[in-house]
Amino acid sequence: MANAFLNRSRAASERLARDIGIQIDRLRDRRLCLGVTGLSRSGKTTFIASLVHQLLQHKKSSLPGFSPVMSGRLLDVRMHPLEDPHLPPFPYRDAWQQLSGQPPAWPEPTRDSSGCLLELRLGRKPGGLNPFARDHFSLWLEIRDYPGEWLLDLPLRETGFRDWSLECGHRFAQSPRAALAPDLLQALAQIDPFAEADTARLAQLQRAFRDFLAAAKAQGLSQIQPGRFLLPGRDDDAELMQFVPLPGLADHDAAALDAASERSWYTLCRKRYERYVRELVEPFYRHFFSRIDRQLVLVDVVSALNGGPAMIDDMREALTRITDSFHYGRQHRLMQLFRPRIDRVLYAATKIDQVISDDHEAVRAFLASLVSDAYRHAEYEGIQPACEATSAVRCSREVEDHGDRALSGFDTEGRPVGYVHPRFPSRLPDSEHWQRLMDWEIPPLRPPAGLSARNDDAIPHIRLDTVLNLLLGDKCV
Amino acid sequence: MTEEPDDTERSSRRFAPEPAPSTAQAEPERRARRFVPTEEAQLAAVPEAVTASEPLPGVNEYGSLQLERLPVKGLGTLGAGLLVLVMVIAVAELVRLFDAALSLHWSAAAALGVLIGGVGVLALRSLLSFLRARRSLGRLQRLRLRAEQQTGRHTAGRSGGMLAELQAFYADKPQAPILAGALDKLPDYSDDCETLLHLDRHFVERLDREAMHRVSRYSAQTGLAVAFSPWAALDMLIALWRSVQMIDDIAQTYGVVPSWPTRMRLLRKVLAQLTFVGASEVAIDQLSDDLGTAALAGTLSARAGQGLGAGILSARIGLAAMRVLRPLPFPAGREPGIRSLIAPLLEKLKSRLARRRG
Repeated sequence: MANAFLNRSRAASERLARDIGIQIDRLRDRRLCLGVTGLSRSGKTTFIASLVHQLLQHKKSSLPGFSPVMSGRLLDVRMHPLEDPHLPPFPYRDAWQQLSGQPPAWPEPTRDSSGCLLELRLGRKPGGLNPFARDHFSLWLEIRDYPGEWLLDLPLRETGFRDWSLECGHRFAQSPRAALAPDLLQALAQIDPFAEADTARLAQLQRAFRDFLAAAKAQGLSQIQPGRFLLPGRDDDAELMQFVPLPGLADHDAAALDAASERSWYTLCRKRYERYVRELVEPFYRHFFSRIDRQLVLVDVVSALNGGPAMIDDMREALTRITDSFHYGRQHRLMQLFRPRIDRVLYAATKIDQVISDDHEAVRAFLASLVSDAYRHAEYEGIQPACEATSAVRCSREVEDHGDRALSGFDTEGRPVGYVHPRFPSRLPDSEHWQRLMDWEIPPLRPPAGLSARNDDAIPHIRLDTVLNLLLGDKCV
Repeated sequence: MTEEPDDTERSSRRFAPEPAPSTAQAEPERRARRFVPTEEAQLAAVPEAVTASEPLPGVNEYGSLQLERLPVKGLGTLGAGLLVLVMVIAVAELVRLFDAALSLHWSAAAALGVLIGGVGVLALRSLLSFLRARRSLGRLQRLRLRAEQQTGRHTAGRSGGMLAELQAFYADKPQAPILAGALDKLPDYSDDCETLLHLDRHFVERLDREAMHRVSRYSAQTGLAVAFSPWAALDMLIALWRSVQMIDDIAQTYGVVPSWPTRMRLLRKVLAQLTFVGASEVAIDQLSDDLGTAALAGTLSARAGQGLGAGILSARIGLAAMRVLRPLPFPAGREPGIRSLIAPLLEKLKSRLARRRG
């Protein structure tokens, strides 16, 4: 009994000491939390894996644009698990094994959250005033990975059930969603919110709604809410997800709805929705995003352009809505402990190796115009977001074919393939140009063969050094 | 060199305008196609990484030349430490003083206690009023944030809270009747985005007109004062003083209660706007048409040129203040330009100079 109490208090005091240590590191500007935000299929896991890999292999990888590498002060990089006991470690080893396997393959899409802590051992510049200063120090970098589907739930934190239902109704009324499941949308709109709820019917509707969301995602649409319907977490309570939006609420005013009986459709769905937000979305936001100092937003511009105008608009709105959840601005480090704000934002167009280098600048400019709505919020606080066209794993090389610049690589079966793609616009194109972009079928490429884990090969990348420098460079001095 | 107004009557006619030069790519469009690459041997090798040192075609080569700022560490902490040290010393001194007074006579100690207590209460009071004085601007900024999140969203029912907040903010202020009038005319079918647009057109734009009026007046004053001031050092002081006054005045137009802490915060925000978001003002290059050879080379002297410069800077500060203080963000493309402010400024300068000479 006394022993158990002693053990418990020892564990608690160790945890407290560790937390204080973390806060002191943050105060000394030696610990950073990097928020990687990316919609589902923007290549988040591959990007993180490659970023970690470039740092771990900094001796062999080419990072001339990252200032500590440039000045030879990056001594060593190590990976540790995060201090959070509930968060599994980021599956870096699996990802790297798949990338360097025979035949090479892309890492599995993320199905649950994970995280890692990188320790960058840096040499100090000589000539300091303090004779007792050590000649090297550690910079700690927290990185967390999570399914991109969950990110789309962040706007729900500030939306009530009625508003959400109305938004859904608005969205469902437009193409291409309207054509996906007309029967279901009709049925949802016809539910009388005051009538007594039928749980069997609700379960059936919820299944149909989930299928509808899956179909919308397969079409390449970005705004899939609630995201956990498609990909529930490990310990999520299934009952929390038993609700559907009621687009028919537009005809009733808020006061009448609040007076609806306990067993009505409206009250039942609203209560579950509120529990969903409170018990799943809020903790997710708190653990993953409430403390970030630097933000990296990954956007798959190439696929979105390939999908057409509706996909671009949907993506633009999703990105804008998501940025509302973050706080930007510059402030003193002491304030950063209590109410962190993001002081650097980088938007990265991923998978740029699908595009020839002549068009990289156009894609970058297009990304800047695509996210200009999203970062107006940051600009107002004096934060200038940066945009960059990058690729975590470069799997193509540029060749010439009949006078055109072209790309060549291996397709997923390992056959060599080369292709010429239409020109990429730096702004929204005209309809004829759209058609050419939409008709183009992006050939899926596999990672480059010949990478070997045994030989400590470095993954070829496109401009990850710029990304690293923009995110971390100023903290490495 | 001024052109004579053309009084001859124009007869109507039609013509076919020349086609606009196509800005689209002059090169032939690429068609998507696939092929099987031939250089198999080369293919098998791992591609090279593309790094920051390899510039893109068509992009400024040395754009990535950037060095990270070397921070001077610990200055803030040093300041805080000094402050704490001074406080500790002050308290210790006070305690000793109190002891000395007590050993002298109890009434001396009581008088000292009353003095210390009085100063403490005064300090608390001014701290409270400082915090209260900041609130007006803080509320405006929150309003602005909400409006910014709603622009461009065709959702319904989100703007209700915002309207209530807007009304609460302008209650008891001279702007209240204008707002009430605008809200009366609000069509009942509008969604959030349209509500914002309506408010913008019927309420905020009226405030804008008044603010522009004030900016124009102040910039003309600054311009004239600088043009006629005898010493260069005085120019700067005049410009600074008038700018602060102007920002205060604009703040009142938009319903921010003037106070010292608000002014300091506003000044900071306006300077940030001026430096960070000045891009839209690039159009100032085109001003040379307006000012023209006629205005600058001919009639304006060097002093008046300085006055014009100070006036333009003052107008820019005014516009930046409007951007910061507007309760709703400017709708895209409807931001007032600096050109409309310059013509009256020039007129005033010219007429005043002419009067002086004549």
